[in-house]
Amino acid sequence: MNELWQHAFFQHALLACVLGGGGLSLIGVFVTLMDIPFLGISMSHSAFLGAVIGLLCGFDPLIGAIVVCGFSGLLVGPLSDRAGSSSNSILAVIFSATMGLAFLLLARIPGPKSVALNLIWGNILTISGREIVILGCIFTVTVVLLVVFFKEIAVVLFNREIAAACGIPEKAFYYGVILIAGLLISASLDIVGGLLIFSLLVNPPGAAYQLTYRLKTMFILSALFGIVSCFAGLYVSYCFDVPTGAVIVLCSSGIYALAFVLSPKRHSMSVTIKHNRADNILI
Amino acid sequence: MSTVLHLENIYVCRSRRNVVEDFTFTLERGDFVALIGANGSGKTTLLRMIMGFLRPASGTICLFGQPAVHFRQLRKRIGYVPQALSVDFKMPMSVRNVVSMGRFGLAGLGRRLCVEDNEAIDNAIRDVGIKHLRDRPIGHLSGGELQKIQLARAVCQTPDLLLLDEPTSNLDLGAQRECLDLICRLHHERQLTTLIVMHDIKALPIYCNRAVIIDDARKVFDGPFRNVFTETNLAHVYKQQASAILGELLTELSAGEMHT
Repeated sequence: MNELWQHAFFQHALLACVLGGGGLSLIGVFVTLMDIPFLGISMSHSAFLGAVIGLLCGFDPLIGAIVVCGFSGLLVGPLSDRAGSSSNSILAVIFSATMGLAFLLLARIPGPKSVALNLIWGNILTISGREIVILGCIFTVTVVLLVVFFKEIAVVLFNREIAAACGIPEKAFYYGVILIAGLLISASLDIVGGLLIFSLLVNPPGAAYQLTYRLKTMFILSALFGIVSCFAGLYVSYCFDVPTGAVIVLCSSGIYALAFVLSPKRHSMSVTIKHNRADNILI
Repeated sequence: MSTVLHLENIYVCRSRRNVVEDFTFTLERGDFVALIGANGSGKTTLLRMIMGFLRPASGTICLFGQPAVHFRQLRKRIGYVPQALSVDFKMPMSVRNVVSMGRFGLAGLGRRLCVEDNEAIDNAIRDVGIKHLRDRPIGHLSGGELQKIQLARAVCQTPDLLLLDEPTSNLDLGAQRECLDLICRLHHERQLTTLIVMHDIKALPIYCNRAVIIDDARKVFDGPFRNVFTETNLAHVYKQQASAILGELLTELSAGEMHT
């Protein structure tokens, strides 16, 4: 394992674990608390469309992916507000539209289509230095915005109407959160790929939620669990020569299972239920 | 007396239907006014419009003596408790976290809460009587406790105007009266101006100095609470049951007066 540290691809992979694993798990807290799990799938397919457009028009597929993701992210909030429907419904519409368009355009690309398809499967070991820089920039912006505007984001997550009633520009924050999530998802697709990215958005925040009643702690734990999942996945895949993305996903699922079993919330709930049952018997 | 809220010939239109029609209304400083009406008569729409969540099709809104244009700034002076709060109470937040939200707008974007904000939060928690719940997760609370927290969040804004949309819905009878007592106490102690949507017409004489009845999007009565109790007025709210309810009310009122 020691000689691996000297290789650039491995150093990039480790950085991707921190920036991508941590970043995805941070925005996963938004996804979980805003109840929009479809965001991951929808954005990864927007990124796929962007990559296809990039290949077709002759510019960098990653830039195409980020631009289309950003555009889709900007559409979700205003469309769901105007249509009076949930963000999940709009995400489903965007998912199907980008998917259809991507496959339509994919057929028009001459030659190999592996660059675009790589976004669907992903491989943390093939991440380039340039991709790390882009991911690092988006990750830094996400963390800075989260730290500076934590109280505003917290009240928007709690209830948008209350946020507006308190004098917070809730629309700007709600739309901004979805935009940042879209950008980070598109820049992180190489870690586990579009199909598996869902797990890093849902499992670490889900595990963190099981262990805390504090929003700040949930963000910190979630980011830690995301990074640990990626590191563990990388190590296990090296030891047993198995696909890295799949093992990262399984590690994050394992952390969720462990948190679920150890959750103090579940224990306190079962104690309450037992008390209630005892009360019923007495009555 | 200064005017806190003035609505002039307000029309609100939704789905090509007027949900508020030709509504003119004034709220003076210190007023405690009940907004009464059957379900769907336009009460919540009116409150949401005062908050700037809905724009009227025509008419003018004046808040604190000026035309309401920049609602985001004006909302910082209004404590608002919505009707049915669609909150995921599994949210990892404590009671104090939720109450402190009332100060977020006043503190400024990206700024931390200052000593004055924290004092206002602690005072609101103390005044509403939820000090013992301060650090409890919001998911561990009863319906009545949640309503108190919403109230504490609204009053910690140190508002000039308090808008309450059926704050006692989903509460049992005892908790309803406890909640109204609390609102009444806060109204007097903090010298608030309060507009409350309520269905419990029997509670009117105890708490409010004025009542406004809305029926089918229009204001049909606006005056002292004693004048509300006529069969014509109650028919706007209770339809066929009006005369029975009126009898019941008058009996209770006269019994109350004899008792006092």
